[in-house]
Order: sequence, then structure tokens, then C-alpha cells
Amino acid sequence: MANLLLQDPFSVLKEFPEKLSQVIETPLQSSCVKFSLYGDYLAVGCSNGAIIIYDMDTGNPITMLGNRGGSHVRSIQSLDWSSSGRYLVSSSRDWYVKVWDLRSPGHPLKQMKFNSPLWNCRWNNLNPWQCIATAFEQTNALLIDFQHDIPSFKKLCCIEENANSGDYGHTLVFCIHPRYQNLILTGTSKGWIKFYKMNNDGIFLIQQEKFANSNAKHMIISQAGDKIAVNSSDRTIRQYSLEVSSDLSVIRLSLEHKYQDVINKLQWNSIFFSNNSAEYLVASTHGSSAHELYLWETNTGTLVRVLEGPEEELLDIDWNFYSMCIASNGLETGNVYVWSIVIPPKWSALAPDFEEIEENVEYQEKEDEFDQVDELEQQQELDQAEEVLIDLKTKEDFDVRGNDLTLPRFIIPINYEDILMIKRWERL
Amino acid sequence: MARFKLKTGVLDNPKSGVPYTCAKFSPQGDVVALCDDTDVLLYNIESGKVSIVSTTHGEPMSDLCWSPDSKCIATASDDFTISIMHIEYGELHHLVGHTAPVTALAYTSKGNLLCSASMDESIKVWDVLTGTLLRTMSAHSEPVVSIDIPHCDPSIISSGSYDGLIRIFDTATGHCLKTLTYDKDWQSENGVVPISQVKFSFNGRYLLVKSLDGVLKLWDFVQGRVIRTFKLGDSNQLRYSCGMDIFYPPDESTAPLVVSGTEQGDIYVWNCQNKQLLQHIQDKHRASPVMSISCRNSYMCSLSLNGECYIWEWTNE
Repeated sequence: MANLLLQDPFSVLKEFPEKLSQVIETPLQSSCVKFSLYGDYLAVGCSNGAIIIYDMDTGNPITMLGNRGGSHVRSIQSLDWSSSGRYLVSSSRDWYVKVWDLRSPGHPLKQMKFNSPLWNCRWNNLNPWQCIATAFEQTNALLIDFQHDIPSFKKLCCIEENANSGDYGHTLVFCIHPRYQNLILTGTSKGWIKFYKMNNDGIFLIQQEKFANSNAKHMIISQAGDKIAVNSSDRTIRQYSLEVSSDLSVIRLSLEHKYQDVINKLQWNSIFFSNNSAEYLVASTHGSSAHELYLWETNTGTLVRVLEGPEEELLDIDWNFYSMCIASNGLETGNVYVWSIVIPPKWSALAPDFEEIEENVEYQEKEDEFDQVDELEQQQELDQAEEVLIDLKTKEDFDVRGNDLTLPRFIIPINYEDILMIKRWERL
Repeated sequence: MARFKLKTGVLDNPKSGVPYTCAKFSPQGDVVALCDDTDVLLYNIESGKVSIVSTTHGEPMSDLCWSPDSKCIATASDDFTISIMHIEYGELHHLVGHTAPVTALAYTSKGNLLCSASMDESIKVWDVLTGTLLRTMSAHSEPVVSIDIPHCDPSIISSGSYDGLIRIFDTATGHCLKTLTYDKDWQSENGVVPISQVKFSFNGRYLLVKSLDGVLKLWDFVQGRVIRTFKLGDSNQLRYSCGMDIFYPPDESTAPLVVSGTEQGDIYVWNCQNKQLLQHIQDKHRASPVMSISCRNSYMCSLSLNGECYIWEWTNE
């Protein structure tokens, strides 16, 4: 976006946000947070089943999903925006997965009930209307198909697996490989990572590896698909480098770093990678003693920054790479804290003939500073500048941070009836 | 050769004594909204039907702006206030805060923010949903008369002021990011040349600026350079901020056009690529200043101070 082109490039290209810039006060206990693709909106899932959408430009709530009926009735476990930004899928402890159309957010568009509370549910971009979910005490992840009027699901497992009696525990977490979207990684309660390949012939288990003797709490993968991190109950985050052969037949996983809180031995609540090849990893800590987010450099495994500000334990984390914001919700108040890159105003922007300097500089006349410029020559130069071809129509494909701007950007329509209703209440 | 051909007139009998300032196409391009004293007239291009939306303003309006979803119109009035009118439901918000007549309005492409410029030298950003003031930018030293926000990029606002400066602001923080000046003119003996209109190109990479000497300049605002100048003979200090817009011909082969109105009631059309004057429309506005030019799809709408309003169609005949 053009505001980034006009600011100090060194500030703009900082790789992680540093300052707590916004606190969104939610009226309810929040359980999870998720930015829309471009960071325009923030969806906040609450422990009573409510989902509130906030406009990040104004910091105000714009809609509540299911406010005309059909909302969840237990804590929201996960939220995920569709790639078009128009649909949102939510999973909850009330055994439901619901799909919401933000064009008419009053009721869920589609929903499906399972036999146990849901952990996590996300869109599988390979097939429209397909989601992948994990549920309580289920051996396998679930593939949910919302394409037809009556949604259906099947287990994400291969035939041999059913025959195999080995006990790998329940599937708790999963992630989709960003480059090979038919490659799905799952993590189980007994510390196994499994790699599944999906294609027209079916689902195949390519590989499985044990990473620890405890259950997986989160599993994340970098945008480039070359790193994964697993947060498990043994108070450790394990970071692996991931190599996948292009035919998905060979997968090599090698441990790079383990992150632990050596002193307090705290659990990690949530983890998140930075963009592209994941230069940084950010995590929130469990327990009332720590109120910060920890940020490590993934190459060296060193702690580079502690994001401070809130005075309560932080739960979920989401990092938007367009707006370069990290959002995390607090356990006690339910407020959402947003860290961003704060660029101080540049006073020289107000007066182009002035230059900002750090300290006194001895004046030195420039070679051509007082040269007599031939007016004719100057005019010729100006004329030449006006002969360059210009393009007033074609939009940029990428922003200065390298994010793709050609992806669809859904704008949630303004509900004018709501404005009138609020106005009427105010008058009463 | 392709040119603008008169399609229809809009107002049959404009009120005398009422200054007509602004006529704009809806984002969908099917309706023209026109400021008529304290009312807004909506003219449907296909059916020719006219409907009236009354505002609660006590004084005439300087500018109006369609919301991106074509459902609302925001109006800027001389009574220092702004009104956001839903076409069916009526007034949604009456925004009070400026301390002088409001001169210009611009919506962001998401439709969630409305920006206003005023004679009180400030620019204000409003939350459309709640009608609250989010921030005020006070960086000009004379009335701000024009603002614009790129269609595809709500992150910046450009402003033009009578202090001769064009500034670019960050929508999110309100900080000034860049100032463009007519560096040569700025130092001229006649003092500064007030800016009268600013307009971003469709892709938000260039800014077309009109100053009160009648000259149009197309700026590469990131580099801070003028890349095209459109000029008409002798320039002098004008009284009215005459309209202009960029027209994007439907046939891809033709370069975008710069359409500009003059105080004498003429309209000039230039090719923005080679600066060639393509068309000169005369004798239509009866020497009344062309206050507003609005282009959308294959149409151009011109409005003069005396209330004459015409729709022109770009044709190959």
C-alpha cells in the first residue's frame, strides 16, 4: 500500500512488530483471534460461543455472527477465514462446526454436528467448501465437505491404518503444507507426527515420526513450507526443518531447536511463525506470572524480543503479514492486544525543502549547489521527464513487504439497519 | 475519431440564484447525484427519472460523495456539518465538528471511513458506522478545498489547499507522509498558487492536481515529480475551483483522458499519454464556470454554476 512507500524504508521493512499499539476491549471472555487475509478485520471467538468481527481501521465491532440465531453455545475453539474473505468457519466445544457468510452474518450458512467437542477446523483450499477438523478423542482428523446441502465428512486416514493396530493416540492438531496443499501433517496425543497425501486415488499415509512422549498442542508450518514447529504438553516447542520431495514420496524432518522456559518451566499457550521462511517464532506462556509474548529467531534459536504491555496471561496468537500486526487475547479481561510497527512522524514530510538530521552537521557546499542553471536546459529536462510512458490503470501485484495484492479482498457490507436501530435506542 | 457526444441534459429548469457545485456518478455508474440547494437530486441515466433526497442542511452544499456500495450519499455543507444520507432510509448521521464550511469529502474504498476537508484548514476522518470523529489532521495553513483517496488503496489521503500545498496523509495514523509543491511557482512574485482539485489515478500511483491558475499537473507522488502538465494558453488567477476528472475509455487501446472544465464554461479533453488536446467542448454551459466533472464507465457528466448539467457519452462516431 502506498503509505508504506512514503515512509522510512528501514522502519517499514522491520520483520516483526514491537509496540503495543491498540487494545480492543471485548465485552466477553475471548478464546481465539483470527485476522482476515489483508488484516482489515479481526474475528474474535468467545467462551460463550459468540464470534465478534472487529474493523481494524476503527477498532469498533461491526458484526456479531449469529446475532439473529444459530450461534454457538459453548467456547469457540478455532476460526478460519476462507481465501476469498467472505466465509468464516468456526469450531466449538458445543460439537458444531459452522460456516458463516459475512454478506449475511445473522445466521450460519451451513453447519454440522459431531459426536464430541471440536478442537480445530480450517479450510482446505485445494477443494472449495472442504474443511479439515480435529475433534475430541478421535483417532483421525476429519475431512468435512460443505459443498452440498447436507454436509458430510470422512476420516483422514488410509486403509492400511485401520488394519494396523499400533496405538498412536488421538489426532489433536494438523496443518496443511502451503506449497503442496494435498500434503497434510497431523499431530497426535501420543507424540506422533503423521504425513498424509490426498489425491484422486485416495488418502495415503506417507510417513510417521515420534517427536515426544506427550501430546501435541499446536502444530504450525512456515509460509514457505520449510519449517514446522510443534508445541507439546512437555513444556517444549520443537522446531524442525522440513524437506519434501516434489512427488511427496520422501519427507525429511530434522530437529533444529527446542524452546523451553528454563527457569519457570512454563507451558506454552500458543505459537506462531513469521512470514516467508519463518525467521521468527512467537509464543505466549501459560500461567499467571507471565504477561508477555516471546519472540525467537529461528535460525539461532535465540530470544530476540519480549513483547510487553498487557497485565494478564495471553492465550491465542495471530500474526497478519499485510498490516504486520500481532494480536493476542488476554485470559482475564478478554481484551485483544495488538502489536504493530509504529513509525514516528517525519517532520520533513511537511516541508520538503527541510532535511531531518540526527546531530549537527558541518555545512559543506555541494559541487553544483550554486551553479547557474540554464533555464532552457532545465526546461528540456522537465520536458524529457514528461515523455516517459505512464500507466494509470494497472495495480501493483505486490506490496513493499512482498505480500500478494492480487488475492481477492472481501469487504463486509455495512449494515445500515443496525445504524438506524442504534440511533433509535440512543434517542429513547 | 472517438469523442464525447452529448447524450442528454439533466436539469430542465435550474433554480436561479442557487449555486450548483457538484454532480457525481454513483460507483455503479447508473445514477448521477447533484447538489441542488439543500437537496440532492438523483438522476437515473437510463430511465431519465429524477428523485429527490432532502438533507437536513441549513446552507447549500459544496460537495457530495457516494459510498462505495452506492447506497449512501455524504454531503458537505456550508453550515459546517456533514450529513450521511441513506437513499432509502434517510439520514444516518449528521457529523458536527468542523468550525467552517465543509468543502470536500472522500470515502475509503471499504466504505468504513469518511474523510472531510474544510475551510477551517483541517481534515477529519469519521467512522461511518458510529458517526464518531476518529482523528483530525491540521497541517494546512489555508482552507483545504479538495481531498481524494485511491480507489484500490485506503491507506493514503491526498489534500489540496489554498496554501498551495498538496499533502499526502496516512489514513491510519493521520501523519503527513509527503508534501508536493509547485517548487518553482511557490517562490514566484505573485505568491503561492492555490490548489483547487486533487484526484488519484485508478491504480493509486499518480495524482492529478489542478491549481487556481488553470494548470493541471500529473504527479508521481512517490518520487515527488511532475510527469505531465496540461496547460491552456495564458494562465491567471481564477475565482472558481473548476472540475476535472480522469476518464478511462472502455476501449483498452485509448489512453486515459484528462477532462477539465474552465471558468468560461468550456471543457477540454487531453490524452494523458501524449498530452494531445483531443476535444474542446464549447457553447454548452453558457460561459458559466464548469464546477464539476465526473466520469464513469463510458459517460462523463459536467455541471456548471448556473445549474446546467449534461451527460456525455464516449463514442466512436
